[in-house]
Amino acid sequence: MMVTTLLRILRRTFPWLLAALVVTPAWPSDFLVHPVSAYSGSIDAILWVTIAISIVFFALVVGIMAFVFFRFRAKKAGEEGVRIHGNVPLEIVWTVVPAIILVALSIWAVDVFNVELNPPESTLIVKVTAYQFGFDFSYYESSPNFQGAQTVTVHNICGNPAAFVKIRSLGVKTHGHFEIPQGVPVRFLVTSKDVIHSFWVPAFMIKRDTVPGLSSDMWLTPTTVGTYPVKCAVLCGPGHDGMRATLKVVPKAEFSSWLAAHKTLASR
Amino acid sequence: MSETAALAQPHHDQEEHRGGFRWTNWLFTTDHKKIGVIYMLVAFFFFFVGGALAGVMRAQLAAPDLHLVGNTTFNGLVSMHGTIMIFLWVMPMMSGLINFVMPLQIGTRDMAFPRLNALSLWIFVGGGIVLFSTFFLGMPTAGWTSYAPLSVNDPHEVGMDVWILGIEMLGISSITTGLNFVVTIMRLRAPGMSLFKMPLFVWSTLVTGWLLILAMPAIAVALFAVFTERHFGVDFFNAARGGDPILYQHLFWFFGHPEVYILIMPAFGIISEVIPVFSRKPIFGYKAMAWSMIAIAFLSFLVWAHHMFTSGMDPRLTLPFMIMTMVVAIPTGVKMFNWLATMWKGKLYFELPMVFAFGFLVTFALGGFTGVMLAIIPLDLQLTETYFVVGHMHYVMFGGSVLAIFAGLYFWFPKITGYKLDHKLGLWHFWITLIGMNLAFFPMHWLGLLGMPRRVANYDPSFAASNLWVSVGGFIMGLAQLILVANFIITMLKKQRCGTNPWNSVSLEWSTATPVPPHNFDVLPQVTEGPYHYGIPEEESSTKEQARHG
Ligand SMILES: [Cu+2]
Ligand SMILES: [Cu+2]
Repeated sequence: MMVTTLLRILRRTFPWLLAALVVTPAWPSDFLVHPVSAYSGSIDAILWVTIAISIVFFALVVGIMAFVFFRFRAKKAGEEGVRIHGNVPLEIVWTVVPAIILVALSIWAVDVFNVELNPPESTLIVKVTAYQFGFDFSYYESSPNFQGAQTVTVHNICGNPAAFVKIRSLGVKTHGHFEIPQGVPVRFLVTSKDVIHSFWVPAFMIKRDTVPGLSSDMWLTPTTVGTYPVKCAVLCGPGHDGMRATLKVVPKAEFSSWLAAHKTLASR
Repeated sequence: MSETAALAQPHHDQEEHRGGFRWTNWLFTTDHKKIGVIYMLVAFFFFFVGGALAGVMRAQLAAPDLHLVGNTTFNGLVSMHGTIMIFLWVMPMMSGLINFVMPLQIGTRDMAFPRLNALSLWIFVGGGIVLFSTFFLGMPTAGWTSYAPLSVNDPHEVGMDVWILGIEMLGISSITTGLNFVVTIMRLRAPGMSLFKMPLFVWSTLVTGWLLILAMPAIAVALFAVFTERHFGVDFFNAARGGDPILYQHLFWFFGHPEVYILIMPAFGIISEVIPVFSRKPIFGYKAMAWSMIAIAFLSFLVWAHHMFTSGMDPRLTLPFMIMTMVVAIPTGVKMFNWLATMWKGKLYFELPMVFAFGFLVTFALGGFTGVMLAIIPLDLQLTETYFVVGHMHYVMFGGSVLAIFAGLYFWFPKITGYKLDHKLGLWHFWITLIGMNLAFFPMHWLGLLGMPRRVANYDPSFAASNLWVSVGGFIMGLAQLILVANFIITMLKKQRCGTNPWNSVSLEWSTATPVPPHNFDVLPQVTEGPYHYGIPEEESSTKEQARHG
């Protein structure tokens, strides 16, 4: 008796309980990744539009389900529905409408990704070398006009797989922590000494796998000063969870002095 | 076909039924029904093993910096949880349901190759034992994806070699099973059952069969290459000696993406059987449902590199893979809308299979949306290899495949055993599972978005609250499965017969006696109508409606 009453109450309240449980307690204090580079701002936009579209479609699905649940519920045994086999115009609509939305999203995605595919020609370069279990960073500058500079082949270079980059070492190498200047485009050439890792800066909303024997690249222009965690994202062995580094974005002038200090450290 | 016909015509082979239980009848059986039951029992065993592994992981992750298990053990748990849930739970469970149901649904007496079917079963069981032995020999620690060079690097780890052996055995079993499914459906359908008169569960089996045949060789090759590199220094993936680490990923995901559809396609089939029966209506857009499965299966071989947008492969390759992946969303959406439309103007009966199908529609939709988000390259560069992917994948695999498995189980249990599972216990099972799974899997999305990588044994303290909820939800979900077990036991002990066709279905599997005689049908059925002949013709129902109003 009590069990049936309890069941009835639970049946009434469960959907609400479920909704409440899911949304409230596990909500993080700060739900947003704050865009800290020009590029991550446009990713944030595409993210929230996609979420909004998903919510609309999800509401449609759940709404239809709630409606049929109440409206078309059988009242007694032996009832039969209406023998409808299909409806061509309706089927065309729900094929074509999602298709249009997906095409629009694809075009936008290509547009955003295109920025990442076209790095500026002369930039500050940070070579990221991952290993079990940490990251090394060494500084270079690049320009197509360098005479007699060291040339590296960047496999899978953004936008132009056949290109080379002319780079010149700045004589600075750090381990576990590195800094970059605010408002200046920085290019990362990432590689690995042993297994595959991933160079991920969640705040910049981008990552690149570090693959032994490959020099893959990504670039960005940090806009906000701050310290950001760098994490390995690809399972790489027992030390995977502790494979971290920190990245500090500092004003230009501060960066120059930081670089100079580390250069003298290196030459000593 | 009716019960009386079956009773009036006793079989010679029915002696084993009367003779009671003899284990040799099961060990040496070539009967698709017994083979199906063994698949399901073994799969259930591994469901609980895989669940226990997840339990240990979620205990470790309940708070930051707990040190319940070491990192190497944790990586082993990660690897074995994925392996078991995919290869030893969902795949064999689907195989079991298909084995039992499909030959009955097409009105035939057995699979095309019954002895090959038995061989597939026992190779699968052998593979399961081999994989289980890694708990004693040392678990592999490179994840179920086993990316090279990590999987190559440690030649002394026995577990990895044993794991490769186990997966290769399961691969052989899957290929032969796929072959058997395809040939059975193509050659043994009852007279009158043309391809487009097949139930959609049979369609899904046909498509899954092809996926198994075409996808499994890729992983067999990839893992064999890993094995040769580990022991004979054949440098397929060693960059320092001319190999290519990314080649492994191409091979793996050429298998890995179709594999996702191997796991979900039978779920589509199950849901397409359940919804018409309990809506008392034909499936909406039958041909679109069949064609969309074919389309999804075909496309699944053209999207593999969407798992590799960050890998460092040529960026010119990424765009076509994004577009193909987006295209998959279209036939998937068509299926969703057709299921919803099937219920429109129906008479809905909320028996347990229908309740689980309802749950499936909600959670699978969520998994679909996050799938689209992951397909968008700029979003993927943030979300891939994070907890977002873990969340997405569990919505699709648990919210999709496993809820559909439960729907199928509650649906066909009366056919398999002759008894209906208890309705109240079933509802408890449903609601607690649903709450637990949403608590466990939903927060994973923002954990990933905010910066928690997947497969980590420890994490930032800022993620503590969400992770605790994930763990609590996981344990709730795990406990809910004990209700299912209790339901099995209680139902089997009660022995309340429910008749041959308790759901009033028109599919052929319900037209023969329960328990099903060894040869299934005394006289092979003659098929004249489509598989979902439910409901009152539209003209009739509209005149009735008019009469009422007029
Ligand atoms: Cu790592
Ligand atoms: Cu995929």
